[in-house]
Amino acid sequence: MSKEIKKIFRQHTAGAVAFCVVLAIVVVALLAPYVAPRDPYEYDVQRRFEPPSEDYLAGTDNMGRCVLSRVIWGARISLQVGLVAVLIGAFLGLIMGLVAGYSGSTTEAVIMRIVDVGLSFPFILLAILITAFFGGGLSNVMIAVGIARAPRMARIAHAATRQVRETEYIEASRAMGANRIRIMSRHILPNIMAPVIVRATLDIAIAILAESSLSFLGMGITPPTPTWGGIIAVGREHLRRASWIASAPGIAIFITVLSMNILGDGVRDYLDPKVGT
Amino acid sequence: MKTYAVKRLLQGFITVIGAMTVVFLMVRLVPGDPVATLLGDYYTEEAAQVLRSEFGLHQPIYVQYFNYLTDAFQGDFGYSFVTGRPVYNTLVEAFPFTMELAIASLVFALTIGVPVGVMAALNRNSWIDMLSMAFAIAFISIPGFYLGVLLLQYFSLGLGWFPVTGVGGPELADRLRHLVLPAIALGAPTAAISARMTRSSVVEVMGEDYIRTARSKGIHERIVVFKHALRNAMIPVVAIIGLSVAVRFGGSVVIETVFARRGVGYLLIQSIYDRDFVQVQFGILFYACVLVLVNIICDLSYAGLDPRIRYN
Repeated sequence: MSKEIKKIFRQHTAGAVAFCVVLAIVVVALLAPYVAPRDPYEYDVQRRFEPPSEDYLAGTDNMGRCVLSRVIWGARISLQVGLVAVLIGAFLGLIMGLVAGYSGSTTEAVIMRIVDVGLSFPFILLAILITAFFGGGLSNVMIAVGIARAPRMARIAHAATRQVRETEYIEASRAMGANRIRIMSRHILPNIMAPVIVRATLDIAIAILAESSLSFLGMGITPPTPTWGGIIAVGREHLRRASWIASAPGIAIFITVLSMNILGDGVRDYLDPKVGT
Repeated sequence: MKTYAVKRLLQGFITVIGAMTVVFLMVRLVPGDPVATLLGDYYTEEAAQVLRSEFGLHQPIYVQYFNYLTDAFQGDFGYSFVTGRPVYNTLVEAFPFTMELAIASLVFALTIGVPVGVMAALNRNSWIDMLSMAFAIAFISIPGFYLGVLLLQYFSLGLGWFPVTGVGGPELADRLRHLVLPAIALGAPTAAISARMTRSSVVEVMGEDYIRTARSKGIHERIVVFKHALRNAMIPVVAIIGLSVAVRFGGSVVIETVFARRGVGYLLIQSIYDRDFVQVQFGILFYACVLVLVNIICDLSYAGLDPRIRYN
């Protein structure tokens, strides 16, 4: 086992390092109550707009709240949205792509036209639209981002399914009398997972960016819940007076998304070594 | 090619109708009564009735849908709930600001991204390659709105080189000064994506037989790179850049808000805040049309650039 890990580290160093960084962020988010120096909601109007100091490592915001603690608690929201939204998107996309790709003819045409309609909205705009009309809040943001990602996932699953559909082993299982559900779930699904997993890993980064954009616009998770995008929005408002407010959440998003992107590239190289040039 | 173009246009048209239907339904499915939201404290049943009949909301939903489609095809997209002006006019006024931002960000992305990608590919596995690809992945990972805030912090408030917000006055120089930072914030991820794409495409092309042939004929390396390699390497880059432009158009919603530019994105966000559903409906439709159109242009130029591509 350890030999295998060493091999992965040697061959995919960047991806492995990124994985460790992501793991560290997850641990910090899970241990937020113990790691965060203060309560993220605790405010002290006497200490508004304090620059970073020994007391407040990342300074305080417009309400005198500890920016670092809010960023640490914000990690929970970002990771949660990233993971759950991608699961929703992958689940919906897989079903649409699988059914369309395997069924062919009219079913395929209808599903893929629906996918085309979904793709005709810029992704972030679709998420904005859903949260704007159905309200913000954690679960709505996760659903909105998930639904907005689903058409992209459907396209990938559809293309992969069409490829697998033509193989001899599918023909063989059909000849043996296996029904559609069994063929799709037992034979096609495992063979289209590689591109889906790669896309999903990269999508976590996109979902985290989307959540922060929504919260920045005030259409995501509502204040005073700490979110990275929400803290940057406060920082943007008070840029002249307290430029540090936006720094910590900005760096947090950057490091998380960067690690997820490098990890995604690593997963792709690992699952499909042909792609790497 | 002609048949393909007609087929793509037809598909695009169906997609736009689909998008119109989705937006129409979404606006009608919103929890709460838009008229009540609009009237706020001034709500009386009588006033609500008047407004409902003015906006046609008293009719059955299928009649509303039919009217919406027929009016839209006659160029009537309705009137703003808030200002009472035709939503089309308001959007047309905002459009140039979004258009100039999209073009400026694309120019920025291409002038930085393509040369960096070529340089990285020609110096494959050197420190130039590694450094430029590291920068590329960094710029893909930085959220546009945070990059915008950073640019504002250092170049507007810190150095005072550029104005903080707005779109500028009628003079060209002023308008350009207002355009620089938003264009960089919006274009940076596209620059990074095109650098990565150009690199892998050039690396692939440089290994082709015809490049070896050109070299063995004694042609100067510069001509081999620029005339033989780049021309072919650019085909996939054009496709990706086209799609990326469409994505940037969506991203302009956020960037315009950061820089308070009165473009279509800013208008859309303001309309959402104001619960101005007719304006939102038209704004979303506008974005969907742009995206569909850009995709069609991309596919067609892809087919035009590479004669090997056969569309059936």
